[in-house]
Amino acid sequence: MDKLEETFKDLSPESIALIKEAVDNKVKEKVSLHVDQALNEQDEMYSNKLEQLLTTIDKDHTLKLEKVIKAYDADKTKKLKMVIEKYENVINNDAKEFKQQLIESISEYLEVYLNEVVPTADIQEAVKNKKAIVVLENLRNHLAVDAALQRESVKEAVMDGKKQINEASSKLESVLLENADLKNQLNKLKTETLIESKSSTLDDQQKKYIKKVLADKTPEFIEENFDYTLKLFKKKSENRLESLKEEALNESSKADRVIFESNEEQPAQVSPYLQELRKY
Amino acid sequence: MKSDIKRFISAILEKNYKQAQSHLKSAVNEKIKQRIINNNTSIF
Repeated sequence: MDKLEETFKDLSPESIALIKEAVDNKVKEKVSLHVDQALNEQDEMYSNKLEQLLTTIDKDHTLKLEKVIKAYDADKTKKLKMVIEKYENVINNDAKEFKQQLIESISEYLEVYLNEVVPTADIQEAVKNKKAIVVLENLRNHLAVDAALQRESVKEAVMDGKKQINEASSKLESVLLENADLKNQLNKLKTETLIESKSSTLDDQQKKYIKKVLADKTPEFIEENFDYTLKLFKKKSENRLESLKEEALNESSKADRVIFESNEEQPAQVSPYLQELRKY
Repeated sequence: MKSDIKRFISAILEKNYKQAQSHLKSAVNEKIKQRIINNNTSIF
């Protein structure tokens, strides 16, 4: 500034001041331009650096977070596995053991409770009153029979009794057979007698038919069915005679016509009706 | 007998009290039978 004043010493102080002001303004403008430019450059540089820094920090944080997550996962997985193992152990072993203990405890409790509620004396009495008495009675009978059988005399008597029973059984069997045979014979005789007495008034054909039909029947059956059988026979005979009559009539009409046509050639024919009548 | 008690516990856990009562009854009956048999053998 001193040099400027020396250079412009010829100028008035106002002019110098104006020049000074103008110079200052220019300088300020320049400075501000440079400062702005520098600041812009600095901002740009810092922005780039900050972006790089942020990117680096992000990468670093991402890596660190991934590591943390992995470590966290591993830790939690390990802990969960331990929990599962513990749980399975509790379920499979401890719970079973506890259940078994509980069953034992309940069983013991029931025994103690029943001992108190149902006294042993009562049970013994019940057993004596029912099962034991029956069993002892059976045992007594069994032992008594054994003791009796062990004596020689009783043994012989029993053997003899058995022999006699066997003989009596075989005799009874043969007598029963004989009795059945005699009954059969008697029935036959009764039947024959009854048929003879009932058919005494009948002719030979009727007698023959009655014997044939009723020979193997019981007397009761014959009593009940004799009249019916006789009626049946008579009806059959009548029917047969009727049919024979018709046949004979038909045959005789045919024979007359044939005889008329060839009288000398045909031999004399006997009527079937007459032939049938000859049989009776 | 033990199986009846086991079923009784299972029924209780399942809140099936009617079934539980039935199993308990069976267990008590078995216990009484056991006692009768024990007394019976001691008599003979």
